[in-house]
Amino acid sequence: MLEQLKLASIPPEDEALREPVRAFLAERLAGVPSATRARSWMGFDADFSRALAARGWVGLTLPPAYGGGGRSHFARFVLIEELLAAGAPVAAHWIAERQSGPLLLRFGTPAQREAYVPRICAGQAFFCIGMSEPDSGSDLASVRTRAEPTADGWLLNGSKLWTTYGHKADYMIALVRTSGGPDDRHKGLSQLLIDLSLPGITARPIRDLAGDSHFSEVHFDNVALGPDALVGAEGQGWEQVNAELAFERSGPERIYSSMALIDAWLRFVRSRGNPTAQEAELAGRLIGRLAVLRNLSLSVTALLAEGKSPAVEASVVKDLGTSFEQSIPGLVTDHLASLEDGAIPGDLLATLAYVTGMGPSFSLRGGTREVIRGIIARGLGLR
Amino acid sequence: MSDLILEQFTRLLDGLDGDSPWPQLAESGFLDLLRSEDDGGAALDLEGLFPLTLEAGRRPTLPCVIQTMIARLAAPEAVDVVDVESVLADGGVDPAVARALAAAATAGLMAGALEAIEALTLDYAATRKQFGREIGKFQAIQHQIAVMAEEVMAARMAVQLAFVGAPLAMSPLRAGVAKLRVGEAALTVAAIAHAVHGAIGVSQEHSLRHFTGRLHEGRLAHGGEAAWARRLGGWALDSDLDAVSLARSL
Repeated sequence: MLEQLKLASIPPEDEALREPVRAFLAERLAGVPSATRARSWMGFDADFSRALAARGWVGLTLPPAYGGGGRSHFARFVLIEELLAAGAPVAAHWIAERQSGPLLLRFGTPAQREAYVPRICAGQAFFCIGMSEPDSGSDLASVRTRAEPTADGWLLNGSKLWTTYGHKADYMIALVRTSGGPDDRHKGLSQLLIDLSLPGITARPIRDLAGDSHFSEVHFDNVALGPDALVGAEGQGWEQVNAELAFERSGPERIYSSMALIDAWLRFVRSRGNPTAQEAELAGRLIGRLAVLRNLSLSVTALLAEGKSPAVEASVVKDLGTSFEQSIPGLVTDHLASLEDGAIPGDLLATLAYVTGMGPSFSLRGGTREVIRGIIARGLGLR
Repeated sequence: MSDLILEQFTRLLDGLDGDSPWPQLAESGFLDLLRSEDDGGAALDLEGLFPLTLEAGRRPTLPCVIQTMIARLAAPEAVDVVDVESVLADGGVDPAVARALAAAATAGLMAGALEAIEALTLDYAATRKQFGREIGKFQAIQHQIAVMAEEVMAARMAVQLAFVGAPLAMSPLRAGVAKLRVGEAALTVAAIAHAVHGAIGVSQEHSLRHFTGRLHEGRLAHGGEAAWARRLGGWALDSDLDAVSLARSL
């Protein structure tokens, strides 16, 4: 059996962050159409990220000594919840502040922390994560990108694929092989921090089915890296990556990807007036499920705040949350297609088209549904 | 304090005379626990009632203890209360609150049954062998049980959300979320549990039928998912809040 999650509430000092964030977003995002908001953490806007950083809202939980806000997990929950509910374009700084900064603080050398974390918090260093390759998706232990030790560091060769904003980020933290071969599986993998402006690196955007270019392929051709490119210990990359993934699976980003669509649909139904029983039922099911998911996510946040590492519970939230997000476009389509009168607003249809098309990716990123269910089964003692 | 109450409640249930439990229950004082101290109770709030409700729900067969405890808020001498909604309403409780409390109590008992089903299913998957190994070693079974565990966790959280504060101040919207979400989980979990158990799960002698039967009865009682969803949705559509703010204000 899994940990019995307790109802948690956000402390007032953290809840107080909500109003200023809402006010900032209302002004900054005024007039942005729903279909653009639906991109949210796939939307890259460096100016937006820097404006957020100027208010101290990038690196909110990171230590003040490194330019962070030193705030609690609950404060971050409030911030992220408001950013995602509004559909703010957070992709530019998202990975750096959520994963790369914490990773460097945990496994990096003092020099690495000094060099990167303050710039992450200032919105001046954007990161991507190099995991998947042409022949390695969920099976990350099979990565073939290789860094050979040299007299003055590492020589890197290989390719990363489907890397989110690899063509726009300043740095990549990549999982690569530094010793052994494919038969060694998880042994011999390391995390390297790569300056993407170095010679020998080409990054090419890949168009997604919505016409956006949120992901990319990145090639490394005899890229010379210094000895300080290594993050953490040589050969410990797999363990480090897993610690990182466990941390990022339970947040509001696993629940709120389709909020722009629900909100556009709610506005449309309200504008028609006199909701039918069918419309009320759908609205009620969506809000009811959302309320439960939000409380599950919040209670996992409480466990994180207590210093625990609720990896399995976080996986439960991710699978439930992404299933919910993915169900929304189908339900909204069913309703809109049942109407026999009246025009449907273009922005609602554009939002629906985007979320319908990209919805399948919600359960791919951060570990596929099949991987996640395997983790839960292990937590239940089945494997 | 709440651990102690749960321990005593568990011991009481363990020692009940199956044929004639009510004199024992009345004498234990548990039936009056929700009533005010002036009325001989302990003014237990819903947070305190939550673990007792789950514990009751985890048992294959049980008299209507939780329903009777709630009914005594309006009918001090009540015993063996099956329909707590009508007893409360007849006793002068606002019918909307009576329905909400009855729905939440049903959801709580169902959440306990869901936990019991998860435990039974995990145990069965770990012991039943086919094709030379425990069936829980098959990925197809593992993934179904993972889904079951997710639904059980969601159901439990939905009930916790409703079990807040004084019983007679139960929020109908939160009760609605509980009944809605637990009902949805019940359908999924009952189907998976029976699929994993195979033929023995539909036999008279196996305890699974008590739990899944209670889930299906529970979905029919005091408003089902669609009814509560319409209520919640009417509130959501009347408001001008965005979806996250609506969920947050529940």
